[in-house]
Amino acid sequence: MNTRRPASSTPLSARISNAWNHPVHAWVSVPVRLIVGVTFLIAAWPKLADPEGFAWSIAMYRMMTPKYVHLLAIILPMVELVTAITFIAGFRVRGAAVVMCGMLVMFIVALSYAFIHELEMTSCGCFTPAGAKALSEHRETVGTDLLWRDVWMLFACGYVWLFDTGRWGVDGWIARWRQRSSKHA
Amino acid sequence: MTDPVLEEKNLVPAPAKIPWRDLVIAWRDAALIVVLSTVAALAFNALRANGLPWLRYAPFDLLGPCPEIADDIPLITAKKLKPGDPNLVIVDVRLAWDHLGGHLPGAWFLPMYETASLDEAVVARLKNLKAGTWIVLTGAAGTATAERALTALVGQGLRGLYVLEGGVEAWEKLGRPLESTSIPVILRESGRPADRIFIDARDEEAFAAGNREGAIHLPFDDLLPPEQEILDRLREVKDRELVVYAGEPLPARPDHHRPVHPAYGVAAELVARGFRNVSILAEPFTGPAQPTNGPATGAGVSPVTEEPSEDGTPGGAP
Repeated sequence: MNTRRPASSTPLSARISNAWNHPVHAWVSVPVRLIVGVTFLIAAWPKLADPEGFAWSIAMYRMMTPKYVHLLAIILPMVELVTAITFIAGFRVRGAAVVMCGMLVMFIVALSYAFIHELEMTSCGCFTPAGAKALSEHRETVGTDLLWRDVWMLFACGYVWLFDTGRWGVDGWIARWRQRSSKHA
Repeated sequence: MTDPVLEEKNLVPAPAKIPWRDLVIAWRDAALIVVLSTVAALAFNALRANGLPWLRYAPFDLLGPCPEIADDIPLITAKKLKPGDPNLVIVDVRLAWDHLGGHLPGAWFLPMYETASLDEAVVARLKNLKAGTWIVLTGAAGTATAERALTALVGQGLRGLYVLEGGVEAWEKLGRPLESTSIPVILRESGRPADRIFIDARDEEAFAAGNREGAIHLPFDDLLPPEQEILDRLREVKDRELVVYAGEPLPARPDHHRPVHPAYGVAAELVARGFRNVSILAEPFTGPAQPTNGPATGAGVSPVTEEPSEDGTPGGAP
């Protein structure tokens, strides 16, 4: 006797819940975490190496007074670095995803501002200090391709926040270790 | 609704729930990550050699745009400039004689010659300034020379550069004080004490035709800086008096006289570069056979007959 209910008769909420907790998310989120995490690592390094250059990059956006530019130039690269490491390692992965979403929203707002005001700069300052080369002849207005790159990463981080349980990462390893310990106990 | 009997027999899978709790806890973790990263960043910044001050000191009420991205050269007016500010360095890009004639208080000397690059030692000092220092370049009256210097310095990676609008002239028009340096003038010289070194400011041809015994040749050139090798040699004997002479009489006010007198030009180059004990010999040197007026003494070392300059002071130049 077939005891299983036909799929069409499964309530919508149950189907959403099942889809939400589908094991495939644990697999899909691993390359997503790797790509976004490594991108943030690569972005954090030059900013940590040349904090003043990054300060000028921030100042180029003309969104804040020069007085507080240094503080942001000191803190932001370290937040990027720590978040990228935790994101790749899968430790507090949903928390790291929230931080990344926050940073990406900030970057998108800054790029949009530069795009709307047609600010001329050599680069967005994401991976290289833009201020040092500012008087070169290769100044460009910020394009929408940079904006789309950040939007896609925002979606990726949102996906990790919503669906990744951290199974393939430090979070999953800690959960399995706790499970084993409780069984032994 | 799912049949509880079937559910009890594990025949119908219980629907998994949306992990609302985990999603909310993620925000707590996010806050923890940000706080810990901030503490680590501030500690790292305090320990590193090229750490930044937390707040960028802005001596001017500047809200933007940043100098390097503006289409025009970043200008600062004389009214807004405050010499003596610890976060501000004023750099005079005029040539030595103009610099000595009157410069902004505490201004560094970084001459912008027509055919030579900037002094590397001074550029290195500018690069080693603490992070966040603002550099204001001052020219004579316009901004052309200072703009050239700014472009050259930006090319070497310096930032936070401004040009003083209207140059030193604009500063002077506001009635603000200028610092000037005078060079002592010796009207007539006789003999040669052992602690005195003569510097011949004439051109190559005149020097080859004859010069004072033991004189160092440092020809006057307003297009090029003095030869570094000669400056190094003179630095080795910095305690001795350096007397610069030329082949033509010194005007009454050499610092205001154009074209620049060769002896004054060379002496100004030396004084602007920090040499002490530099003086100018007003008496022109016309040839090796020229008799001296002072009393001759033996043993190769002679006392010097120094007459006061026309205004009665030891130094003729103001």
